[in-house]
Amino acid sequence: MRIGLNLQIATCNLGIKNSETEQTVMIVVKILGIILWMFVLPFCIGLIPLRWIPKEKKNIGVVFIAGYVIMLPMCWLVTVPAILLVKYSSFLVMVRIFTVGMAIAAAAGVALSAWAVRKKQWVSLKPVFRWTDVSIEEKIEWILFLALIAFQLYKAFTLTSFDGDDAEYVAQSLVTQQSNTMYLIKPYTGGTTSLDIRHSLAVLPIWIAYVGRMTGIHTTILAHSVIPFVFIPLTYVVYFEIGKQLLRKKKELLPAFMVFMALLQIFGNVSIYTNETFFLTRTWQGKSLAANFVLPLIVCLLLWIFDKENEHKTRKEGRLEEKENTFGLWLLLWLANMTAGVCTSMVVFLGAVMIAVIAFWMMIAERKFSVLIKAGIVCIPNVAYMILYLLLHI
Amino acid sequence: MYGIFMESVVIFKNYTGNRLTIILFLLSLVFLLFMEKDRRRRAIFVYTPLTLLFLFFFPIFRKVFVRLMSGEGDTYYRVLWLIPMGIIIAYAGVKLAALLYDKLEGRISSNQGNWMKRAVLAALAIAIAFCGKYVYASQYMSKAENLYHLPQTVIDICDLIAPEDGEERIWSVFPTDLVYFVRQYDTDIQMLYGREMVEPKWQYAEPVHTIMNNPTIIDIEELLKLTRERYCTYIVLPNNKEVTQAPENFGLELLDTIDGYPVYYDPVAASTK
Repeated sequence: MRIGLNLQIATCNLGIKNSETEQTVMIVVKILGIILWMFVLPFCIGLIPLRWIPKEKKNIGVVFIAGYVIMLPMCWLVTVPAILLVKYSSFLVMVRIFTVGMAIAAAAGVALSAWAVRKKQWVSLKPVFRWTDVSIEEKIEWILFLALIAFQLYKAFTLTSFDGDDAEYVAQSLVTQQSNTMYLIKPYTGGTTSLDIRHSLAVLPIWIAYVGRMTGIHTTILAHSVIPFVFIPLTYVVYFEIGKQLLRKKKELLPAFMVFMALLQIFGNVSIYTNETFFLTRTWQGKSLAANFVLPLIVCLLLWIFDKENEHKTRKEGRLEEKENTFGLWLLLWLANMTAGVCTSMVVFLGAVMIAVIAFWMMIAERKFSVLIKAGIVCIPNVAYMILYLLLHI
Repeated sequence: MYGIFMESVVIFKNYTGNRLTIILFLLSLVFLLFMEKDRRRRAIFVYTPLTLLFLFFFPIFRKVFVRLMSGEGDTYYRVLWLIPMGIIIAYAGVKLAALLYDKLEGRISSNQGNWMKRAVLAALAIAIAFCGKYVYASQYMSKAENLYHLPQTVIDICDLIAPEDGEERIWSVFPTDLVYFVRQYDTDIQMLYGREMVEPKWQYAEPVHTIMNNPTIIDIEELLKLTRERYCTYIVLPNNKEVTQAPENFGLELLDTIDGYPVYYDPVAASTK
């Protein structure tokens, strides 16, 4: 009830002070705006790399992941030059260019899909969940898993977690939304400052400000009450893909795996430092997105890549070679590395360490030095980012 | 080097919170070390975590990390985020259940095997809950009072003092417990000090905050001397502290008292702008 009342207060604060009907219409428009900017457009953008992704991996969840790992680096590529090169109202410049970029990318995704359909190269997106194929026991486990997700979303909406960093990150989004400048005003106090280099390369708060501008929603509401409904499911899509890959030959265990993953998040608050704690208490912060979405995505992609390359090897040995390379997966890994930079500078370095260690062991396991070279190539964004970070700090 | 290593040990202990989840993870790792036959899985879920653990405790790695992160040694725990502990526990758990089922197949009926598998899965679910800590019972969690997820008190105070559209931004002073939230609601309200002054670990000092942060009493005369120098027109006093003199004696106007926080307007500061 209180929440319902405050929804009205919130909409009033957004400039809607007319009749109840108008308020209802505005709320519906804002909800449609959220669906457009956080679901529909990322999905359309995610269609772009689909033709380079192995066909058994093509599903709605993967398109959604691809959409985010393209959209967020695009945001970085527009925002950082705007911060460094535009003196006044840099956010306005960013909004204009990024909107054009989003429109082009979404149109490209739809056009490529239409072209694939026309050329009869389109592979239907597999539903991630085929209800009729599973046993009653699995159905119960899936229901339990979905109930745990619903529980997490319900808690994310109805509970608030105090975190001092919000005074910086959430206020940063609001400063951007309300002042049209980026990283020139101290979020803590409002005083002006020289460019805040340390935080200006991790532009997730600017993306939140952008969505706030396009939907007309206060960025704090967006961060605390809306984003968990996107980032929590997005993270579970990654866990789902990992589980699916790990349990390819024991598919019946997948729902149990997912239940465990959900329980580990809910009971993962062993300290304030764990990624699980960040996941459910600081969902909207770049650090949380990096730890819970980007790093598991790197694991997932490397798992896919090495399994796929091994399949090719087996097929070649069995004279059943099929031309389907892993280029699309390496491309997604490159984009995942760029997404790390959007979230937080630190995970750019840590992500590179992780890829290096996995590639090292994979090189030994596969006895292929080329693994290290490919891993080195996908870490180019990390190296470029770190060089830029160091140059701006000098 | 030994000192750096011991610091890493302390960081690791703090990260695990001395709970049993870490034991669950280590058992899972050992289980996969012996039972995982796929060399690619072993590379990602056994050798990589072991290498990352080694790196975490390796003093030179920590030195490089701190150097690259501009001295941010207190975030070193984030190296542990690279180890997919949750995935390893969940994978080892389902693998154990499947293994038992396969081993017992033929010796017991299929129905018994299924029950055995279910029992293992249920036991692991209970173990996860028992070894971990329920996130929603955290001391930092509370019921959301509005869609902003900010204290309603702060919103009410901000609505009272915020400038109208087109008006200049205002300067204000808030009690320590409210400074985190004000500018998450309205950035037209500027503050003489913010979160950077109230976090004890950063040890910054700011004279207005020093006065406001006095544990028992606030020296109004001293406070106004400083706030008027900086054209601060709104002062929100704490709801649990005494003041040396009535603020009204110095020309302040009480606008309202919200949840025990007296909200004052300072016409003197406003007129000197």
